[in-house]
Amino acid sequence: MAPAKSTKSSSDSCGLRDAAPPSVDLNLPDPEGFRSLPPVVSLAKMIERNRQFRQWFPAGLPSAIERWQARVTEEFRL
Amino acid sequence: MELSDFIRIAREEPALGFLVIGGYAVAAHGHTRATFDVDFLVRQAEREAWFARLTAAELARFAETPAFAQFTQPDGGDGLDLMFVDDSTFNRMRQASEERDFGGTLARVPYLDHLLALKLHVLKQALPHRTSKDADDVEMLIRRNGLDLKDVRYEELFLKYGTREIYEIFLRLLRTP
Repeated sequence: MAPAKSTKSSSDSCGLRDAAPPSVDLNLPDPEGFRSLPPVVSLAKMIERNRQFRQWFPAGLPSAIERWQARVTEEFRL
Repeated sequence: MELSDFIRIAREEPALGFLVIGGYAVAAHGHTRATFDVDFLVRQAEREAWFARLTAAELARFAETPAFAQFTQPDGGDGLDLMFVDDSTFNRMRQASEERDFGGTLARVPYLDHLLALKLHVLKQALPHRTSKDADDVEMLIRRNGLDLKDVRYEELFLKYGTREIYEIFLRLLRTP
C-alpha cells in the first residue's frame, strides 16, 4: 500500500511540484484573421495610468542607464 | 515633473520650439501604451538654451551626444529626452505637425508620416533594448490609422527611412487574410 501523501510543507518538498499540471486546453479564439488590439484610451487617461504604474510598480521602471542604452545614435533628417 | 511640466518649462519666455515625439506622440496617433519618459524633438540651434532652461528647472543632464540628450529628475519622476535636428528638418516637421490635448495641456505632435519616418529611422539602427517596442509602434500606427502599406507612398517612406527588409517584414506582418 502506497504511503498517504502528506500536505504538511517542509523544507525539501513543495506542494506545487506534486500538483497535477494545469490544463493548457484554453480554447482561445482563433478565427481567420483574428487579431486582438489593445484598448484605446484618451491621452488624459493614459497620463493618469502612467502615473499610477509609476507609483505601483517602481521597480519595473527603466533606469537612466537603460534609457541611455536605447538612445538614438544617428541624427534624423527629413 | 511630467509631460505638462516639461511643456510649461519649454514655453517660458523666450519659448523654445519642440514637438512631442515618442510614446505620447504614438498615443496621440491612436496607439496607447505605457511610457515613463517624455521625448521632445528640438532644434540643434537651441541646444544650449535647452540645457540652461532644464538645468535651471533642476533637471540633471545624464548624458548627451550630438543627436540626443537625456535628462533625469532627482526625485525619480519622468525623464526627458531631447532629440536634436537641424532647422530645416524641424521647420518642416513643425509646419506639418498637429496639435493635441494632453489632459488639458495642448502641444504639437508630428504628422503621422513624419512620426513613422522617425520610428523607421530608429528601427533601421537596430538599437538594442528597443527594437521590439518601435516595431510594435509602427505596426499599431499602421493598423490604427488604416494605412495601406502597399501604397507607393508608404513603400517610399519605408525605403527612405528604413530598409527594404523592414518594409517586407511589415508587409508580411500586416497581411490581410
